[in-house]
Order: sequence, then C-alpha cells, then structure tokens
Amino acid sequence: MSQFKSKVGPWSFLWKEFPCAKEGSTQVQINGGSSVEVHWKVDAQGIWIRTHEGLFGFDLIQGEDDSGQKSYLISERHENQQWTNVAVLVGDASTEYTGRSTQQKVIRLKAQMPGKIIRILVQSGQILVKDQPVMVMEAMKMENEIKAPQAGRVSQLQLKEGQAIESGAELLRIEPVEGNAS
Amino acid sequence: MKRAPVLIANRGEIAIRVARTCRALGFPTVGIYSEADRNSEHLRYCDQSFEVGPASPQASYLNVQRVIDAAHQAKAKYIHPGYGFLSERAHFVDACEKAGLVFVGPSAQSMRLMGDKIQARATVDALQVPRVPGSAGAVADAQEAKRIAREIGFPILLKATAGGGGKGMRRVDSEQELDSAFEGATREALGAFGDGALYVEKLILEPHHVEIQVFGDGQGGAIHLGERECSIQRRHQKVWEESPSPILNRFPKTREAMYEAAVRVAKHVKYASAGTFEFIVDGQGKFYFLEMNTRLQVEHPVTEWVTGLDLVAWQLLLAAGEFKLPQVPERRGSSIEVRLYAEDPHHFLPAPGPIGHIHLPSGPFVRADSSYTESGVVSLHYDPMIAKLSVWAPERSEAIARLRVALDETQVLPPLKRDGSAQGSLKTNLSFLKKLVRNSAVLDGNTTTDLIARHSELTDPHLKSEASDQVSLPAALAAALVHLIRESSSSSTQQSEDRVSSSWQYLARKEGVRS
Repeated sequence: MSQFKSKVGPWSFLWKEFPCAKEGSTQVQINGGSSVEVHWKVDAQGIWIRTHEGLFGFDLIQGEDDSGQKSYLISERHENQQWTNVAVLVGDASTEYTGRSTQQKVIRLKAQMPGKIIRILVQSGQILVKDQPVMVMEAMKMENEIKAPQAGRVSQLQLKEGQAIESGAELLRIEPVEGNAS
Repeated sequence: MKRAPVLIANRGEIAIRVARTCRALGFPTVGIYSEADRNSEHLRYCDQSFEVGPASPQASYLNVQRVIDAAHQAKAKYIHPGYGFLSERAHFVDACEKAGLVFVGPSAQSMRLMGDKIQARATVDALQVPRVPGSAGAVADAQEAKRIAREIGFPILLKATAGGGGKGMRRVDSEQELDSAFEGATREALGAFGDGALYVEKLILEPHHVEIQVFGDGQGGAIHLGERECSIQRRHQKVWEESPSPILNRFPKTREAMYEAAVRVAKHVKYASAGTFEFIVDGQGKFYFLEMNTRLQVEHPVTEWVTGLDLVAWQLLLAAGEFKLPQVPERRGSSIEVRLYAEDPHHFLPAPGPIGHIHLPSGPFVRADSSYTESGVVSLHYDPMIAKLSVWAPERSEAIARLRVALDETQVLPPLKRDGSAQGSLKTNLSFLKKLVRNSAVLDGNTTTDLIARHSELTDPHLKSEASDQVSLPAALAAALVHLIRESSSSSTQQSEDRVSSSWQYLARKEGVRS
C-alpha cells in the first residue's frame, strides 16, 4: 500500500494511515525527518489537534483565491492568528503533488454585497493601474467606490449603470498585461 | 407587582435587552416582527408577539399604524422603541399619545427641540454651549456651501440635515472638490432619508468623539451619568466605545464643563428619560456640541458597567410614574464595548449572510448582547450588527486585556458546504477588532476619530494575516487533515445537499401557512 503525502506551505507530511475518520490518531513524518503522533477531532467548522507541541484548534474555510486556486482560510481558535490562501497539495509517495496552478493571474472582481451599480468608470479593454476606481456601487444606502485590486486590462465587463447585482456577482475581470505584472 | 404590558417596537439584541429588564421588573412583554423575522430570537423573550408587515423596515418596524394596532391588540400600555427605527420620530410619539399609549422616552416636544440637528443648534446657541462653526441651517446649493466654507476655512464637512450614521456626509478639503462632493452627499442623503438637504460644518483637527449620558425626569430635573468616548469609528460609525474617556482624563476641567453644559440643556428642554449629548473634543481639550440623541444609545452598556445602573429600568419606571431622580451616581473603573458586525474587515462594507456557528465570550465582567445563538441569518434588511461585547475592569489596561481574551474566544463562522467552502457571503470584523485591541494607539489612549485611517495595518488585506508559507506546524497539520477528511467524505454524500435545500423549502412553505 502506498503512503499518502501532503504539502502545506513549508511543511511536507507522510501519513502512516490515510486519515478519513472524524476522530482518530496516526503517525506522520514531517519534512522527511522524525515521525510524530497526531490526535484529532473534526467538528463542523474545523478541527482540534493534539501533537507533541500541545492542543490546538483551527477553523478552516475553503475558498478560491482570485485566480481560482483552491485554498484555505485558517483561523486559530483562542488566538489572534490567521493564515490566508493556504493550499494543500496531496499525492502518494511515488507521484508528484497535484493541485498547484501555474497560470498567470486573472483577477475576477466580484461584488462584496448586493447593491446597485451607479456609475461605471472604465471600459472593456482599458488598462488600469492598481487602486484605480472602476465603478461606484450603492449598497446599504451608501455609495462605495470599487477599486482595481491590481493593474491590468479590463475584460468581461457586461454590466450597465443602474443594474442591480447580487453579492458575489462578477463585475469584471482584470487580465495581466505583458510587462505590467503587479 | 402586576404591571401593564410593554410593547417593544424593535428587533435584535436591543429588543432582547429591553425584554430582560421588563421581565425583571414584572412588565409583561409584547414583541413585534416583520415577515423576515418570524423565527427571530427576540420573540423568544416576549410573552406574545405580533407580525407588523413585510421585511422592509418602512412596511413593518417603521409602520406606525401597524405598531400601534399591535399594542392595542396586546392591551399594552407602554411602547419602548429601543434605538433606531421609531425611537427618534416625534410623529410616532404624537401617535402613541393620541392612541392612549405611553411612549417610553422623551416627549415629542423635546424630540423636536433637540432631535432635529438644526433646531438643536438654535437651542444650544441660546444657552451658550459651544458649537462647531458652520452654516446656520441647510444651505441652498453648492455656491452657498462654498461661500460659507471660505468664511470658516477648509477643511469642512458636508452633512445631511436629516442624517445620522455618516450617511450623506462628505469631507471636503478644497474648493475644487466641493461641487462633486455636494452632488454625491445630496444623492446619498436623498436615498437614505428621503431628504437631500445639507449643511456645512468646520472640520475639527485631532478630534475625539465624546458623549455625555443624561437622564431627565421630564419636570426640569436632570443628571448626567458620566461620559463615553466613541472616537474609534469606521465610515463615521462607532466600533469601540469606552468610559471614562481617555482624552477627558487629560483634561478633567473639560469633563466637568461638558457635564454641566449637557445637564443645563437637558433641564432647559425638560428632557425626560435617557438621552445623549454628543460632543467633539479637539487635541487641546476644547469641546463643541455636535448633536443630541433623544433615545437610548447602542453603547449604553458601557455606562451601565461603570455606574452599576440599568438604564432601561430607569426609563420604564419613569414612564410608569415610579421614578425619583437620584444624585449623580459614582462611576467606578473602566468599561469598553466593541461592536461585532457582519462586514468585511478591510473596507467595512456590510457582508450579511447565514451564520453556521457562533460562540460569544463569557467570563468575569464580560457581557455579550446579541440576538444570534446557534445559527441564524444576518438579514440584508436590517443593521448588520451581530453582537455588542463589553467588559469592565478597575483600570483601562485591565479592561483592554479582558476584552482581548473575550475577542480571542469569539467565533462567528458561515455554514460550510460539504466541500468545506463557505455557504453565503457572511464576513465579520472580528479579525479587525482583534487587531484593534492590540493596537498601540488604542492601548495608549490616543483615540482620535481618524485612528483607523492613521493605522492602515488595521485594515490592509495584505497584512491582515500571515502568508501561507508562514503557516505553523499545527496549522499545517490541521489543514492537511481537514483537507483529506473532507475530501474523503464529500465524494460519498453528494446527494444530501439536495435534501437539505428541499427541507428548507418545506420549512418556508410551512411558515408561510402559519401566518
């Protein structure tokens, strides 16, 4: 039976048993060095784990970064500690990791909340600088300026002024421009 | 003692807070709810409750006739408005009186005198309370605003006469910006309040927002109950409130002068019940009257902590004719309240949505006012506040430490789908509050109103958390475990999501029939 491995940030793990139960314990080899015992208990929002370092709780929400890569937002329970965009790569001992995306970043700018587009300040194909205002949206009776999170070229702009939009709706995309990578 | 029922014309945490005191004093409680609130937590604290209309506040919680009808049906004698909604509408107070109901709060007369910003300015001017220089009333157009701005000097603020909460407000630093700012503020005020009128005010530098809590007996007697400093604001809305005020600790004479001014005005207008005088205090300890809030404030728990009083009990007993104004109570120790909102922690846009899990803090001298328990939905229709967390300790530094622990204990998370991704769009400002309670300017009491803007590390999304390559070993192990466990369970249970959605539809149908 081949062993499962996973990689998270600077850490690579080789699991003695495939962890699939909500509660359990196993040996895991860390960064090709020594093995430690890990006990865990998964709950609805995350996990409690006990290692040689102690007892730790984490909330984990899976999301996608702006380029569509799956990753986790991890918050440590009872601490002021958070990590964003933590990708977990998995594989078995004889193969390469899967899950890493190497494509260039296309930012999909999404509405943070439901509201109405009051003014659109850019056009399709236009090249933006970072933080350039792209549109004004009215939500919760307040006007909010939406800015470009990175430099690039506007594409997929299909909204009209006055249009109502749902939370999470894609507003436009910002594609990287040659020689203008931010 | 058998008392007459109190209708609580509100929802959320404040309805629960009022209901608790009603029950302690023996007033039967009557709740109201909109169609969107049929399952809301606040109804569980009321002896009976009445539906007053559709989700939109205008159609339900602001619907004077429906609220009064509910009071009649319930044979209620009193109406407590909470804060927001009908709490500062003089016409509602008139309507209550006409309907033979007792409004728990100030008279319509003092609401008109002090609640309207322009009327209030005239009232305090007559009593020589200092005020920020600005236009005498609403300005006709951008030209008039420009002329006044030249007189008093830039920077200035444009504010909606009907406004509050920062809506329809703009800072203008120069004459060139004025036209577009005027247009924007007018549109926003029109949208939010149905009234686009604006006035002009000089912008005070190094400003602190300090307010004096007063309580009047309606006969010309009034006392103060100390101050609250609410300087830390985002989008001109308070997010951190404390007593005593750090800036007034540096200027004790200013504190006494502000107490005296607030009580003088409250006595003059024969103010009844709880009210708050908002002032701006500059870095030199000069104070200017801003406005009066003729209601109970969101942040009243801070005053309750330092005075040991129950302000709602005072309001109810005064309304019932059983209240005698005591001496100014002693204030002890230090209290801080923070507001936990469903909003993005970086730009503070509201981000309501369903809550999958909530854990609010507890422990010695920790208070959590909230209407969210196990799970629920932060509704798009209403204020996105999730909870008010407040603490007390003998010293400010100890209160901050207590608040830090309380915030680290707090969890508010969206429901997760099978694959571990968030369901809905809920975000909270919890990570922001955790940074705020550790911020050096906050710890030092340098709490000017621009604190959040001055400390971009509080809101910078790139600094908000450690990058993934900094992840600790336990966190990495946790991520790997959760990933593997969720992956292995999600493939086999694809079907159950459909079932969940249809039971929600079933519930929706059932609830629809019940009304």
